[in-house]
Amino acid sequence: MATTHIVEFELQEDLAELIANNEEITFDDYNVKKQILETKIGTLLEVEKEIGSFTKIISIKEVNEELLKSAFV
Amino acid sequence: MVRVEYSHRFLCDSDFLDWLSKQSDREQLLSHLMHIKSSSKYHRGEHNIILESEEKECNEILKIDRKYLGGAFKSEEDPLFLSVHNEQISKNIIFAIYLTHFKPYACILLTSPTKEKSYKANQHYNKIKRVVVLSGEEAKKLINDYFRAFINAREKERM
Repeated sequence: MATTHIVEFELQEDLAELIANNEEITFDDYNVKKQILETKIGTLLEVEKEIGSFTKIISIKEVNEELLKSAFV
Repeated sequence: MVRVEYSHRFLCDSDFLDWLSKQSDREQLLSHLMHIKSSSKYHRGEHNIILESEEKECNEILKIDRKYLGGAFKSEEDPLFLSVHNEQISKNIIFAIYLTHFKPYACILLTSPTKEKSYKANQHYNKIKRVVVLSGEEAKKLINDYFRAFINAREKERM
């Protein structure tokens, strides 16, 4: 089955709410879930997801100026 | 949840993005725009918009990675009612006016200092107050002000 990769930008609390309300959100690595829940409220995250039938959260990164240095080509 | 009732939505054009990519504090400005888009009380994820027709126009010159551009401005398909307009400036003004039909009932049209005059001279921009064309340092100041509002709201949530 082909899977679709997407990248979205969400505040920590919106992602935490998604996880709490949608049991079809999964993780390859429990540490990613732990990392999300331990991140401070109001932190903007770059969220890499994979959609097959369930949605898998692959990784998160905090959006900051350091990360955005790669945004300009 | 960190939600801010921003006074205006943002609509930008390709000239603004070109201007943005040439600023020394471009990473900071892009980050601020991404935070604003994600924290809007009424339009989370859709507060900052760019029309698809405008985005296509800047394909050649755009120096911002598409992934991060999407994080700062949601690309919106041109509604059918814009097809009667040939000029991109008119499309942007009419769409900015359309955005004022929804909360917070006001829109900032972000462009470059060189393009600002063309917007202000456009017949559709005549006498309207709910759409404001901004560029350069004024645009930068507003984006920074909005980001400060986000930081204040976040501090309250974290207390």
